[in-house]
Amino acid sequence: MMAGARLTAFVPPASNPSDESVLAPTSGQTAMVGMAGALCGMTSISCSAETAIKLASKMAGDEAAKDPAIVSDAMGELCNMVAGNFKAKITSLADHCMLSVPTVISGDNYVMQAAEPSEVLRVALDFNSSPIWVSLITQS
Amino acid sequence: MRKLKILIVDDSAVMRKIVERALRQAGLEIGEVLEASNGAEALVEVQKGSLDIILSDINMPVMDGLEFLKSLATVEAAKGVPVIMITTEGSEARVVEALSAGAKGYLRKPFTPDQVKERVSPLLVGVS
Repeated sequence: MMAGARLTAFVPPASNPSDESVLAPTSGQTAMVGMAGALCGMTSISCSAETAIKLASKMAGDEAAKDPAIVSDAMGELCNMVAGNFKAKITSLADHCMLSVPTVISGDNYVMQAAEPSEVLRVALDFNSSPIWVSLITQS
Repeated sequence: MRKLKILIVDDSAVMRKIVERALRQAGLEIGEVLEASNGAEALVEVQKGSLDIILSDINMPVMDGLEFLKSLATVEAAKGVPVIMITTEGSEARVVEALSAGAKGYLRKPFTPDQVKERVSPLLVGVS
């Protein structure tokens, strides 16, 4: 809504359906929002650097998206909204789960690993034919 | 028709742009947009006077939206200026606290221009 785009499930290209780099984020930008309280864990969104710039362009305009700080800000805000709306939809969480401020990392060839995750839910969504991974990691 | 002077308070520069765009897409005639990245900066802008409406995030560093809202009670220039809180969190308690402290409404992110119009337009009757 904030980026003016309707996302559907990302389908890897037929030419490379099992390429791991297509199926999971390994570089680009990742925004994370931590959750604590009745539910502990983290929400994250990840995409390539180019996709992050396109998202920021949709949200803040092409000129603003030339600024790396704006791109990180956009990713952080998107993750914030994903986490906030997830929390809002779970009645028992709304007043009993706090969200952290977003943290955004960018670079090449990194791996995110949460300590002792109990559940990991990751979906890949299609944004202009590029994947955006949205993850929910909960900890016991 | 007088154009509106609005104050947008959010620690995210991207969100401030989104809010402004949503207000314009909602059909509001905006003359001047003031911005602040936290409640303390916003109080400085409010002192300049002549605001028609304030839209403020709740979770911000330095001074959050609730503290900003409560501080407005002592600012002469803020008298009669409606405040809409913008929130990501689903905490009913915080929304109730904001409304009790004088906010005239709230918007949950993400929001559409129509939702902005629905919340904001009734507060501007007679202004523009």
